[in-house]
Amino acid sequence: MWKRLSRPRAAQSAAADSDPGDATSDTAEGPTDPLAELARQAAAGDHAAANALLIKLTPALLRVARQILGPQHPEISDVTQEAACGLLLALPRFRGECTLVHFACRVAMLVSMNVRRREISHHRKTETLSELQEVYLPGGLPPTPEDRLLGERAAGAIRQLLGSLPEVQAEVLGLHHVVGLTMPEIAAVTRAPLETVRSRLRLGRQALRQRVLGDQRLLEAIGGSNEHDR
Amino acid sequence: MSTIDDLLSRGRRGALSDADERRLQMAVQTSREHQLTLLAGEVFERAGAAQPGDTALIKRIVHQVEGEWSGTFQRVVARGRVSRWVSVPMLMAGLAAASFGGYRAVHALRPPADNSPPRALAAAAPSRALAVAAPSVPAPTVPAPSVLAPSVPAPSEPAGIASGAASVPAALPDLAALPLAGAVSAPALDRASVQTPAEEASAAQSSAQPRTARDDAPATARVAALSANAAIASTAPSAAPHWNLPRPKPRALHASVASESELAALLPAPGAPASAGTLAEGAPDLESAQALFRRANQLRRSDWDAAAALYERLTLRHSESAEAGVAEMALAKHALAEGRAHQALRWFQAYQRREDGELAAEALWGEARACQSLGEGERAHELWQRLIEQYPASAYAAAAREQLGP
Repeated sequence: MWKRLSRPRAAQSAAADSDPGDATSDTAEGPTDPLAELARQAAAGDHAAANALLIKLTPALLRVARQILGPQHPEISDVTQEAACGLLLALPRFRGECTLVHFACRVAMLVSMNVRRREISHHRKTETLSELQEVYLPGGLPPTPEDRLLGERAAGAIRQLLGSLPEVQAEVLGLHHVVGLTMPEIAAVTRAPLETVRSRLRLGRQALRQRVLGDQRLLEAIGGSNEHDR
Repeated sequence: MSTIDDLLSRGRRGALSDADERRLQMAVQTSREHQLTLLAGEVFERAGAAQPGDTALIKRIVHQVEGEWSGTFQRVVARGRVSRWVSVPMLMAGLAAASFGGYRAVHALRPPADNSPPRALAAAAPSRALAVAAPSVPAPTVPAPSVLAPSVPAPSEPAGIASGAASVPAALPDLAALPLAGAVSAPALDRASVQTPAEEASAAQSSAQPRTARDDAPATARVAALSANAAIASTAPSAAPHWNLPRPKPRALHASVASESELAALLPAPGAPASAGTLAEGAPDLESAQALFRRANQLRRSDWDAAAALYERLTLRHSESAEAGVAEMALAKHALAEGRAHQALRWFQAYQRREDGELAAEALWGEARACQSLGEGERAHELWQRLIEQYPASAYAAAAREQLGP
């Protein structure tokens, strides 16, 4: 059941353009970010550089927007566009403490989280057809339908939490569970101490556990136990 | 050594060594929480996976951002450059004026020769510590509250006064005024911002002011700062103040636009001559396909009917544009969701008449669903089969296979 823990390495190259992990040579190793120079030029007002940067980073923005909001959310392109504008606006503040891809992912995640929070606060039903949401069939399915159910419900619980948790906790929870950044990467991108990041994640997980305990189907799916290993 | 959390993250990228993979496998097999985390991670990976048509979508997004951005970005950068040269002298002048005013205030409060305490001095809080210690004790004769909080700008003041760092482009008041800045900067950008030495100096300066409204020292400082800010604003190259930038999500604003008639008042009438007030040279064309599309997208969250009117106008006026195609799909999906299957069918079919429609598979699927809603099961089956043949790799094809059964 748990044989394949990571994505096939052959698939990495295909996703390299949009994967936040492709720029994980982390900040501690120094300024190895290939996009840093482009970002500097863009921040200085070079229109061509800004355009080139957007072409490089928009896939990552799109990816994060889909991860946070769901792939069939009707506002995906709007959110991505908003994140792209936000990224350009934020470029002068980019200090190179993390990779630009991670910086972009954070901007996209916060923009997406705002949309989610707004939707929750307004109790607004999105216009997405429920059928179209339901027919979203991912390419590589988890090994069993049971696993798929588990994963989807857990992902749904995380998405819901992103709209209700305190923002700093939601940010760390999202960057880790949704975007897939490691703790040191989150610390770099949020400019927070590593221990603070761990603490925020721990608090976020506590809320997640409460959410799981309140989800009868998920609880049943994992065996009806409220035992937690950590 | 990496924690399990980090291994889970790196595992999603396929960046684990064999030893780490074994370690992660063991952790996952022994922990339900790790199992859940791993499964949720896979769901998120799939959710973020590239989809057919992404290349065109990304091009369109970049194009739109570029269109909105052109000119604006240069303006921001230029303003930053100009303000750097203007704001520093102005800030220094403001500080000097405030210091002078402070001196006069202290001088005025100096005890007279008979050593009797001045009335105002007893009520004044000369330091921030005192202000914190006794925040609710007003001066007996002081009714003006705004001066009593020297480190907090009055609501009506421009943000530049509070920041005192107009030389930093990102701290420009205009950016703070942008809806996007509100959406992004609060958590993403401002949280990590560090108070600059100029800000600290400004805060220290203002907190050191005597807290009486009768003193004209804080008022002098405020006037000086306001003058400095006005000077900055006037020197900024904003003579053409058309920030056609973002305004990405002014949802609250649009909530007030209730009807199509109000919308019509906002939009120029078809064929109406562009007046100087509405369409100045260089101003965005509110009737362009992009403008209509953007406004409709913004409206759809608060007022679908108004948004639908704009979508329809878009399909009529710019029928060949890509935006019109997306508008057709939006209209179709909404009609289907509301049970207006006939109308939905027409929109779905209209979209399919386009060449190279990126959403053709979705339109085909929608048409089948509309047919199903109308009781035309046979026709729906045909459409599903066509969907499978024409777009075999699409997620909708997979759904169609499920509909057709084994």
